[in-house]
Amino acid sequence: MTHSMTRWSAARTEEIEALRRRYPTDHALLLPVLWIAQRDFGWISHDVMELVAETCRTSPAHVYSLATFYTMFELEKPIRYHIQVCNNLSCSLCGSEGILAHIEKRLGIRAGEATADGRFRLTAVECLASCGTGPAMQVNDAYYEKLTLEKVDALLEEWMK
Amino acid sequence: MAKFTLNGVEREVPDGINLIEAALLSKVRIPHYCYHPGLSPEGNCRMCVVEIEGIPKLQTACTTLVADGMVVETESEKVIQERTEVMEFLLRNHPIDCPICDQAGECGLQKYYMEHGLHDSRVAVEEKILKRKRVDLGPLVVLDSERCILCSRCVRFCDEVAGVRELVLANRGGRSEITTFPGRTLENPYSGNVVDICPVGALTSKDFRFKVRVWFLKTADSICPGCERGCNIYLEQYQNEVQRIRPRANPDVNRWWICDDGRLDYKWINRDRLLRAEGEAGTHPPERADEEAARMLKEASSVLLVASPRSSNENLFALKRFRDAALPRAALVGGSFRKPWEEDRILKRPDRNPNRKGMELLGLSGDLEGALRTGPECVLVVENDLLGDRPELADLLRGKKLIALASNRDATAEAAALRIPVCTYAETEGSWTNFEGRTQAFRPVLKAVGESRPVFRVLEGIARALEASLAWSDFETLRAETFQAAPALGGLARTSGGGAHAL
Repeated sequence: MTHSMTRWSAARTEEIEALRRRYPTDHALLLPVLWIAQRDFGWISHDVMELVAETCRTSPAHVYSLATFYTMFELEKPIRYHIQVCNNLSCSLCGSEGILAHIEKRLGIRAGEATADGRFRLTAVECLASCGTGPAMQVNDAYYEKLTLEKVDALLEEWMK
Repeated sequence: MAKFTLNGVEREVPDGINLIEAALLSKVRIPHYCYHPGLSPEGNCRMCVVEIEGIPKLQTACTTLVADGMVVETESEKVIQERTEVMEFLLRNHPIDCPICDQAGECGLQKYYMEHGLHDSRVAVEEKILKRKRVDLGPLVVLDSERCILCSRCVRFCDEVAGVRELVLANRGGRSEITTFPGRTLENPYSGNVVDICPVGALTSKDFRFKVRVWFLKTADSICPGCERGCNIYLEQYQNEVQRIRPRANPDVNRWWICDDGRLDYKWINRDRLLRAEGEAGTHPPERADEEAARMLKEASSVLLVASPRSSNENLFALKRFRDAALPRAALVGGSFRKPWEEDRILKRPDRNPNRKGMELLGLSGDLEGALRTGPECVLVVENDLLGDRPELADLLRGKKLIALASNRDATAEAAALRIPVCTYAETEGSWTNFEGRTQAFRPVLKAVGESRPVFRVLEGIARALEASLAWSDFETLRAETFQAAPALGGLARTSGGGAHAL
């Protein structure tokens, strides 16, 4: 059962039902509905996954599998800046390890941790599908590509203000 | 039929099968982890790659159908090198904890490592990604994520066979893991099968793990006594106790699977056994017990013999012969008061007796409750826990002389004036006929427990004490007579083959 607070608004239900007709199967509806959920609830909690499962007529485990696979879904309470640095092959070859180490040093945290003021969370992630423009990172919904230490510093200065 | 060349030899195999199966028909085993004949092929483990003439890259044998004129190499230098490299990847984060792993001895990683690996690890232990080591996946299953190679057999099993998407792959890359939805466990009643099909030590059985090293187990082909489906199983023992049950593949009956209830339906074989014959005056050696039974039967003015749909066809037939030879005036009725369970659309049948059909075909089914009501003075109950199944029968049995041939100290044996120990199906030869009329043999895996004897031997002993002639030189003679007297049993069923390998 889903949490009583986690429900679609009437307008959203209508939108989803309209969307359902555009997709061949309910499974195919999963990603768009997850996007809608992220927009409405801010992040994808377990309660939200159960709601999405019910909506798309699949198991919560199936939704969990998808939501944890794609890095664009927030699985924890939103934080001001969620920095996700790609650590896959192409980015590593282009120097992402140095980028990650640099950010760790600047923020004083390790990958997987958040700063004490709750403004930054740093994650090392698998492929961001931006291999042509590595090293790449994703901060909230935005991509930053062809990163250099200078570029990263400029961004951090801006965000730390 | 397709003609293809396998390692330089021309072979002819049926159309539409994949290269793993096609090679197997020619006794060539292609190593694999993720492929299982009972599940959809996925080609993710890469272990089954082969070289096919005209195709520049190696191909996965599990996802490639055999075709006319195909030229396949399974042992070329290129293939062997690829397997070695695949092994290295699969072992990238493996914790190498074989000494405490229950899969040791039947592990696909160990097996293929000895054949294709044997290289030094290029990954230092402290560099490996740590994952969840003891995940409670449900009533029967424990997950060790570090040992998992992500072949997804268990995921596909839940999806395709059990019909519930309970297990999934979560996260990505080196952090991918098998998991249920957080806070939930496997709830499907077939969950134990994921342990059998796991090619490595990632999924182990809560019921079996840490009990015995698998190479100490002795195994016999047997049949599940749980319901009238008659699933084919392996019974495995150590120190004369059954340690576990595993499904035995039979495409005509249970494919590769058994239900969880069947998997656990062995504990009673090890527990609360009746070890010696006991009467009102204490214990009896076997011959005395037979004489005592004969005395009680002879002195009674009316006798009812109760047969059971849990007895083997051979024991049921022996009981019939016993009545004809020793007690021609006695009534003989079979039946059971065992409560049915819920049928499902996979394997479980409602009737929880494995030989209802055999008992019917031997002409022993009847109105058991009615027969008990007619007030026989003496009742001989064979392998049938009337009182355990329906305690209210106590009123009906009160005042009657009760003799029980029983393997366990069940309610009926405890209520009997004389109880004589008999072997369970785990200790004797026998056959049951399933609901479809398929007669299947089971083989003994245990030595007889205590002073228990096969039912037909006890009946011989009682007949001897009654001065009737009843004797079989061996079990095979009894079986031959049984099948001859009841041609409807159809003799032992042949399977249509295809009893496939674990790997």
